[in-house]
Amino acid sequence: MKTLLIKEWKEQLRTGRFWIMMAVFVFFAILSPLTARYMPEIISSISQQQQIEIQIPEPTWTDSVAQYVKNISQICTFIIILLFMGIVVKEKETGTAVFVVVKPVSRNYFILSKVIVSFLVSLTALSVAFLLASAYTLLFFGEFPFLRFGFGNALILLYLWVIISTTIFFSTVARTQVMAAIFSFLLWLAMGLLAQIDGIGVFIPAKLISLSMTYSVSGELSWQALSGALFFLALFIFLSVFSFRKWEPS
Amino acid sequence: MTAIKTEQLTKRYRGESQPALNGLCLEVPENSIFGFLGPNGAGKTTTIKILTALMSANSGYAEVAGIPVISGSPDLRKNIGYLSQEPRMYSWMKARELLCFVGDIFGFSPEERNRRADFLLELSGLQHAANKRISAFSGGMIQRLGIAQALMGKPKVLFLDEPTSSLDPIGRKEVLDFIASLSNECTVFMSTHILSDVERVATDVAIISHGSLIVQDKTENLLRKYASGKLEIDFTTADETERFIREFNQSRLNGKIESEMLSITLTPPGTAFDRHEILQFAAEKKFEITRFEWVNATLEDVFIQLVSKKE
Repeated sequence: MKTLLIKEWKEQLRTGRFWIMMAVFVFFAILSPLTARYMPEIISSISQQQQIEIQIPEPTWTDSVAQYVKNISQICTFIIILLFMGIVVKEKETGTAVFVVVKPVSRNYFILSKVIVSFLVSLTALSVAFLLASAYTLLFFGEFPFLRFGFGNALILLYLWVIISTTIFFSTVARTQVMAAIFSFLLWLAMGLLAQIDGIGVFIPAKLISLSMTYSVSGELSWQALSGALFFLALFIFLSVFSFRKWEPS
Repeated sequence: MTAIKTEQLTKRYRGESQPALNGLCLEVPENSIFGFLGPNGAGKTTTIKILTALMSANSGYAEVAGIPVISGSPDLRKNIGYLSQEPRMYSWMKARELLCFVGDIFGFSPEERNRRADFLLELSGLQHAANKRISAFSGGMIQRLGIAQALMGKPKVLFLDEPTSSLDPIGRKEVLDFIASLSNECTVFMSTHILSDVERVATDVAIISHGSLIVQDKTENLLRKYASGKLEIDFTTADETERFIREFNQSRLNGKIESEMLSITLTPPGTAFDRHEILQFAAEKKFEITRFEWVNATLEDVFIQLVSKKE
């Protein structure tokens, strides 16, 4: 397992996946507080030029956090699906999966090493993003609840892990990278829609995004979305491992 | 001792009317270089995938290195090496790094892993490229690295699926020399449809067609049993060629003649052939001959004879 973990980590670094993810997260971590701070000024200067009067309230740290949560949960999730859609199916297509599984390696470990390293990569990227966003929010807006924002980020991380585990699952069962991406996007959209339904919606992992925002601002937490996310996480990891165990190279 | 044994191995793919393997029975002697021959679609790759536990058979029994082949068996996978038809390795790795990765998978200590990686880089002639990225390797180098990685775990049986099919003549020679040097290392099970390759390196041969075994024997026995040589004679003029054919047909000698403008190929009716009689006949009739050569039978002759008979 250790050998596979090291190999996966090196692969993330050398194929550029890690750096792309880091760059995207860093970009939005800096952009979000900047946008929150200067967007009202930009809008008001444009409106003055157009001789339109728009009343924009003074931005606060909550705008910065809201902007950050929105960017990470939308654009960064999109990038994550693109980065991880080929994580298994590409190895199946190119033959490197056969290269590994014909050796004394557990197929479970083959998948689990990918899951763990993908989680670590997203953890690293989100941690850096969180620290940068916090620093810029502090710089632009002064004091804000750093620890609550940290826990809010933990909820976002859990959401990203659910997205990664679904993408890995589709990458395990799909025949091509494009198919894996399409199914992952569809499930992502479906989760977003299901989260709007009364009753079951509170258990859908997509609720973690609004929960992250709510917790960062007011410290309120609902355990349903958390338990739902853990269930989906475990389910998709299990399904990935199970389907890869059954895989026979054509 | 037997390195590989299969009994009535059968595999039928979903949606296919014909089975890919149809009761295949094989016995591969230990430390042999075993050529596994068959036309395209005969079931060679399917056999290798079953024997390496990458695929399961519908019925039958198989064992490799004395271990029953069961899908997912780690015991089996510790004792085999495998190189697929189009070897794909992690192109972002360097050659030595890849061998060390494989060594780690097999649980070698760092010292043993490094020693074995260096040994195999030398054996495969890749010492100079040890720290080069695999993405920059030529086809021949990838194939040799592929065999080296398959040997990394000190396998008892090495499976090579069409190891030379995608290579140019130089790459093929490099790889065949490498395979020939492995006879003391392990049993090599090599599938191919390039008959000259097998003839060059294999000590034992099996020919399959439509998923079942046609024949299996030592290479030299096959050549002796199933094919005779040919006599090739070149003449100075086309008239001389025609005169030879005419006179030969009128003589008491037997044989099948195929002719071109200035040459003929004489195939004996059975496996025995008295070339001295022909030589004497040619001398007596004073044919103007520029070349008189006995050409030994090749595996290609055996293959064509046996496979076409089966079909």
